[in-house]
Amino acid sequence: MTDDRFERELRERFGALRAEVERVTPAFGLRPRPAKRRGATVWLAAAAAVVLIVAGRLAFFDDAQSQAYTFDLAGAYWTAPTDFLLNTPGLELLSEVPEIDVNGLVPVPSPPGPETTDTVLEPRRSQS
Amino acid sequence: MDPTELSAALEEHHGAASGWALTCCGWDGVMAEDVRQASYLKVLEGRAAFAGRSSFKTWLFGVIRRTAAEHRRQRLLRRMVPLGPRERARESAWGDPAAELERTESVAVLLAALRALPARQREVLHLVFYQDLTIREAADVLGISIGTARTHYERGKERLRDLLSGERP
Repeated sequence: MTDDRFERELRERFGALRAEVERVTPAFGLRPRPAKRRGATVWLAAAAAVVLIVAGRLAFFDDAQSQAYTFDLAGAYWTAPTDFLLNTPGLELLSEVPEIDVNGLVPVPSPPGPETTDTVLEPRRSQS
Repeated sequence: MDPTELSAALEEHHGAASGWALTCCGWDGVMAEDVRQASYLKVLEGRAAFAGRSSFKTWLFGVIRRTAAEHRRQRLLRRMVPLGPRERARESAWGDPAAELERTESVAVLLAALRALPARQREVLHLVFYQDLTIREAADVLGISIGTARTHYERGKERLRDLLSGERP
């Protein structure tokens, strides 16, 4: 069968199909918009309820578990096994503020020039 | 286009749109009716706006094709989440168009052959031979290039020739 002849045959066949479809097609018109599907809403609500119940049960279960294992941290004492490494020589020097012996200071005479009221002190030199 | 013009245009193409909706829905009367109605509502409510870049018929067919794809996805979802007896019991005003059409032998043979084709080949052949569109217009409706549409057309026609002549594909 040549291509043209087959195309003609196809057009005839599709034409017959079109005539049949038009025969059974309902007249033009819009049907009212269908109501919202309550079935889907009910399913979604049920699924959400199940999720909430399971989540609630899990949360409650977790609380109960955590209560069973709580203990008083204030009453516990623990020392790290490597704590001794921090006890370096001279550690006591770092833990207190050094003091200056104020009584050992002697006044230094002011240099010549304009008089000042300030007194300059300098450490007493040893005699030796 | 104002709503009155849109409504008149839809009425003018109602027959062609019905045939195209049936093809897009695999000759499922219930689904095709839903798709056709949903497409008309999209057009009349402005959710699908005709910009005039193609003929109204070509554009409407594109809307119907996309709406059918949406319905197929929704149907897949409903299979996973069953909706209860009320939804399943609804019947089409069309009845069972495939059964109605298959009363004529030549039409039944053509429908059986079309069902054996891949969807794209079936759609291109429908648009060209049933709707009398050019291959370029068919490509516009399907959102594919003209070269791809031509390939589907040639392969579909060859396959249909084999099927209609009783040869094995």
